[in-house]
Amino acid sequence: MVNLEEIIRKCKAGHSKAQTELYHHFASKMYGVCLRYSKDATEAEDILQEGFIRVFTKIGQFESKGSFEGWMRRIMVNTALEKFRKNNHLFPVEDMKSYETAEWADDTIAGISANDLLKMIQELPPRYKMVFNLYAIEGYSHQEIGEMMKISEGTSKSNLSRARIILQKKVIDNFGLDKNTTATTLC
Amino acid sequence: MLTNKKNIDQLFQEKLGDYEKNPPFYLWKNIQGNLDQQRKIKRLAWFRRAAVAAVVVMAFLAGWMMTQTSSLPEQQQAGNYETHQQVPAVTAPADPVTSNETVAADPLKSLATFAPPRIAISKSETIEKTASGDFILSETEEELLNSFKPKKDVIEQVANWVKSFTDNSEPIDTVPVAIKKEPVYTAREQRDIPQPQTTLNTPGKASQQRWSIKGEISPLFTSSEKIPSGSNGSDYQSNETLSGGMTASYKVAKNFSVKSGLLFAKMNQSTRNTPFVPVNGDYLSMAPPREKAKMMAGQVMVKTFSDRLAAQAPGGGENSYFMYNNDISQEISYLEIPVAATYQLGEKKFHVGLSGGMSANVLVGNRATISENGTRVASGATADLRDVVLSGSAGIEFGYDITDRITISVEPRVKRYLHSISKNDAVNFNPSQFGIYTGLSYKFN
Repeated sequence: MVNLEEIIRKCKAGHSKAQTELYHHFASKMYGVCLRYSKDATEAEDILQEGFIRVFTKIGQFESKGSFEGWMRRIMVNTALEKFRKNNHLFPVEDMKSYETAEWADDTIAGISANDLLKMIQELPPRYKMVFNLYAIEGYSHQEIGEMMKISEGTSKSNLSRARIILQKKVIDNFGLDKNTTATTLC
Repeated sequence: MLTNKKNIDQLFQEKLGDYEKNPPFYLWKNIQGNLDQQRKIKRLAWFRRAAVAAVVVMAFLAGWMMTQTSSLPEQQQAGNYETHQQVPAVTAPADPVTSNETVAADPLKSLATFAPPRIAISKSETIEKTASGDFILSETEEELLNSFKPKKDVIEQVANWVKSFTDNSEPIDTVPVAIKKEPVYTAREQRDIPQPQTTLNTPGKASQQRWSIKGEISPLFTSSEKIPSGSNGSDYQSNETLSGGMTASYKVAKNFSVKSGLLFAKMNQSTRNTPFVPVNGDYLSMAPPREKAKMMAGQVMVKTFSDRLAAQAPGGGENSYFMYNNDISQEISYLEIPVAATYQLGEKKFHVGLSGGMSANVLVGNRATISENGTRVASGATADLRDVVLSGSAGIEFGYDITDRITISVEPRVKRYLHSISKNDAVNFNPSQFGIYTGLSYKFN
C-alpha cells in the first residue's frame, strides 16, 4: 500500500527516490489526461514532462487539504492550455444556436474502445478539443472555460457544439450506429 | 427493456474520464535529468554566492592584514620621532614637571608623558611661587592645561593600543640613548654586540609570508569491494590511479590558513564478466543488481565497435544478448576544485597541520574499454554520470621547512564523494578515496 502523504512529504523535501515513486504512481493516469489534450503521443509526452516538472517544483505549494490527484490533474490541464495558447491563435467562430444530439443505448456503445475515442478527440481542431475536454470530461462550466482560455462564454459554447458535431459524425460513421437524434438547444 | 441512453458527452466521459496509459519509460529519465539540472543550477547559484562571500571575506582579511602591517612601522617611526624630539625636554633641568618623573624605559609611554611638558615649558615664565612655596598657575594657564588633559588621555590610549601590537617585538631603546651618553665602541666591540634578530623597522620575514603555492602528487586508491562472481557473473574492482595539482594558500592567522586550487583525480574501475544488452538501439552493460549498486560507477554504453564486431551486424532483437561476458575498464576523470582550511600545530622546522574542506569535482574525462578474452572489442563511456560531484576531504600534513620559503610535505588524505557520481537510480556509487600527497610549497612575501 502506497503511503501517498509520506511520499508527498518527502517530495516536498526534495527526495529523489520519493519523486520516482510519485511519478510511477500517477504517470499512467496523467498520461491519459495529456493524451486527450494533444494531437499525438509526442505532444502528450511534452505536456506530461513539463507538467511533472511543475508538480515537483511546486509541490511545496500543495496544501494537503484537497485531492492530490486533482491538483496534479489541474497542473497537467493548465500545462496543456498554456501550450495551446502558445501554439494556436483563437479565431472567432460562427455562433451556433442548436444542433442535433444523437443518443445511444449502453449495449450499443459497449464495443467502442477508449483508444478509438481518444483518436477521435486527438483529431479535433485544437480549440474544439480543448473546450470539449474541459466541458465534457473535466466538468468545467462555460464561464470557467472562458476565463481559462480567455474567450467569451459564447465562443466556448460554439466551440463545444462544433466539437460535438464532429465527434458525433465520426462515431456514427466509424461504428455504424443509428442516428437516434433529437434537436437540442445549446445552453 | 429500458436501457440508459448516452449522448456524445456521456460516451466520451465514460470511456475516457479515467483513461490510463503507461508513458514511455524514457520520459522519467528526461524529467529526472531536468530536475537534476534545476538542482545543479540552484547549487551553482549557492556556490557562486559562497564564492563571492569567500572572496569578500578574503579581501577584507587581506586588507585588514595589510593595514596592520603597513601601519605598524608608521606608528613606530612616529614614536621614534616624537621620542627623539622630546630628548632635550627630558634632559632640560628647568622642566618643572618632568624633573620629578622617572623616565620610562618604554618609549611609547614616554610619548604620552612627554607631550604635556612641552606646553608647560613653553609657558614656564607665567608660573609663580606663593608664599608657602607652592606654585600657582594663573587662570589662563590652568585653563590651558585643563584643555590639554583630554589630549593626553587620547595619546595614552593610542600609545597603549600601539603597544599592544608591539608586545612581541623588541622595544626601541631610544630613551637610554637620549639619557645616557652614547658609548663609543671600537669596531671589534661593535662586531661582538649581539644584534636583535628582528627589529620593528625590519619586520620578520615569517610574519609577511602569507601567500604560498604548492604542487602535490599522490597515488589514489578508490574504495571498492571485490565481490566474487555471483549469480550474474560480474564482479567490480577499483584500481589505483594518480592524482595531483596545484593549490594556493593564504595564511589568515598565525596558525590558520585557507587554500584552493586545481587537482586532477581519476577513477579506474574494472568489471569482469558483464553481458551487454541492446536498449533502444544502444548497447548497455547490464545494470548491477541492487545489492551491488554501491560497487559500480555506472552502466557502460558502447559508442564504437571494433571492425570485427561491426562487420558481424551485432544485435538480434530487443531481448537478445549481443555480447556475453565482457570485461570493462572504466576511466572517469575529475578536475577537483577544493576549498579547504589548515590548522598548523607548532612553528618549528618540522610541523604538523590538520586540514579539511570540500571540493567540487567537475567531470572532465569519461572513457570505457570493452574487451573479450583480452582483446578490445568496443569502446564507450559510462552512462548517466553527473557533471559535478561534491566531495569532502580531511588530511594530516607533515611539513619540513627546507629553507625560509620552501617546505616539503607529506599528507595522507581521505576524500569521500558526498553523493552518487551517477544520475541513475540503479547506481549508488559514492566511493571514498585515499592518497598520500607529496608536495613542495613556496612562500611569497
